[in-house]
Amino acid sequence: MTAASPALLHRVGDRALAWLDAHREHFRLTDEDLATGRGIVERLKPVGELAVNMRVLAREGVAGSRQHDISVRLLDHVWRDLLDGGNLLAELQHQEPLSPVPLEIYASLHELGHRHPGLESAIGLARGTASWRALEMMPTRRLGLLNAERKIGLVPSGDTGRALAATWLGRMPEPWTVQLHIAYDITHTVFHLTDWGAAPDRVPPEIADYLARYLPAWTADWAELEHWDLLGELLVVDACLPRPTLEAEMWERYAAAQGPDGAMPVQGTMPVGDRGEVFDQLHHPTLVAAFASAMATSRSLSADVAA
Amino acid sequence: MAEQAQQNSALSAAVADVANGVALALDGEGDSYALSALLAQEDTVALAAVRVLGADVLAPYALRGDPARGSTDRQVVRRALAAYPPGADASDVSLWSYRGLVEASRAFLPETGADGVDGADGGGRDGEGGEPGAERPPEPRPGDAWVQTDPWPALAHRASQLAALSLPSLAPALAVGLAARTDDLARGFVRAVRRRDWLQAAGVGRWLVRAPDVPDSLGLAAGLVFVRRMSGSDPRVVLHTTAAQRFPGGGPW
Amino acid sequence: MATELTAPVETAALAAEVEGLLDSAEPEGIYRDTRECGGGLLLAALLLISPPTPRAPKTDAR
Repeated sequence: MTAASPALLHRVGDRALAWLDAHREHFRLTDEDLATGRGIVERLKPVGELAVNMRVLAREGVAGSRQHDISVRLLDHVWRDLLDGGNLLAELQHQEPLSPVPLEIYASLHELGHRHPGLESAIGLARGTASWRALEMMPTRRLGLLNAERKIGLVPSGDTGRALAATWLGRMPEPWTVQLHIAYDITHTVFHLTDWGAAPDRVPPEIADYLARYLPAWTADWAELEHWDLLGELLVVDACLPRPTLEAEMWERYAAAQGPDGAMPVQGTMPVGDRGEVFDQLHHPTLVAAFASAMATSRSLSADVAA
Repeated sequence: MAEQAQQNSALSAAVADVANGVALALDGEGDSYALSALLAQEDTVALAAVRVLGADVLAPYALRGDPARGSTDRQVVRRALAAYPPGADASDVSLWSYRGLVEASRAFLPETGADGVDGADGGGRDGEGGEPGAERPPEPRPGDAWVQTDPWPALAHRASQLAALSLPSLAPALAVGLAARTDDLARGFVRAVRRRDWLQAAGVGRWLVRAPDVPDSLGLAAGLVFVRRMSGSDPRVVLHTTAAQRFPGGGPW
Repeated sequence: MATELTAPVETAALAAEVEGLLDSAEPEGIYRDTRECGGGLLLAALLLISPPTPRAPKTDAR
């Protein structure tokens, strides 16, 4: 098994970022979205994901000057244009005072230097309730919420170890039972536990061993199924391991699925049709491609890559 | 797919029948087992089924030998080996499987003084105290570099095809080589279950139950139950999972 | 045995089939996951970098 070259790893992200930049207006919430409130969380999700990506790129510092310029432009776009300097998040918090959504989106932007005191105050108001800690949510999301709190400098409202123990991965069950949604639970547990790859050493050794042993089987399987969206997330998980494999064969197949404009399809081949609908299908896997590339490129230059 | 085309053939039906009989015998104590009794008649198809299942047709004897029945079954095996020797372009799997059947016959059905008189064909001289008129079957020396060099998916696939050689005391070098790649076989098991390739999963599972360091996290015991049920109790899968239960551990290391 | 002597063609075909069964290729793995890829996923309201919530009519790649 050989590791992919840094050039290949980097190229995937470079192209993905170009696509994201070219389609940055598609991330914008429409007046209708804002007026009706319907699907607003759905529309905000890609914006939050874009922010996470810019944070990863800024942190990993492997972007190169052209990528750096694009990511600065995109970040500015997210904060100023898409989120109205945070006012949109503050408004959402006002409508739903106990919602964790604004915090989840704000956390990466806060780390990148953006501030909205009114939003922080509203988040503080929610955090002062017992209800905040009692909110029912999926275990991986709880882990993400604790991480978001830490990202903006707050004391997490719960214990990370207990939150991890409640996840699927935290219990390390039979690896042959993994299906699509379980696989996404696994990737998200790793994303939140490591703060989107910033702290791979937060993965406990026994879980790192478990992942090192079984991740290749899942990766090979979803590569064979050409499920590029999940494959990209699994490649991020690999890059978060103490000894990432950055397996060349997987990365070559992943890179080959990418369109000439940098878009990554969810599964199989590129969708066709209405531009807006196509964007809805492509933004997530393409964001994942940028994320996976940034993580893998950085680790390939620094980590003890597995033989 | 070629494999699907074969599933309805007379040979596939015979393989399923014999596999079913072997699995039933393994579920019991194996002391009333006779391969010859499983074969409707010793026709070419039945012998081909013996060759396909390889050493597993003698698995019940590995639990408890029965020299009286054994001599008849030893002849059945010799006929199967003679009828379906590996061709010039045979795969390593074919060579290994052939060799496994030879070794199983020698290990589980050692020749006795009685063989010369109860042979079905009668007459003839015993060259080496064996069946009348029968030469010792050749023992091919198949390649085994793949045990070290195959990437894990190919390794698991090939190991599964050779699951019958996981029976006690057969192919010790192969067992040792595979024992050094437990993690790779575990990955292969996971991948095979994901792909719903129950036969491969069950076959890999047979090597894994013998491995000295199979990780608890694999959940192998539950996995074999799962595979057996999900296969719809396919006879070959049931043979593998039953053998995995009956021959746990006890490798030559 | 008589059948072996009288049916060499059948034996040759069987020998090939024996080889095929012994060294069979892996079955294709395309028959699984169709349901899970079809969008029957349970998703929380917002999970960053989780797959998009399937929306109304969407052309699945498979």
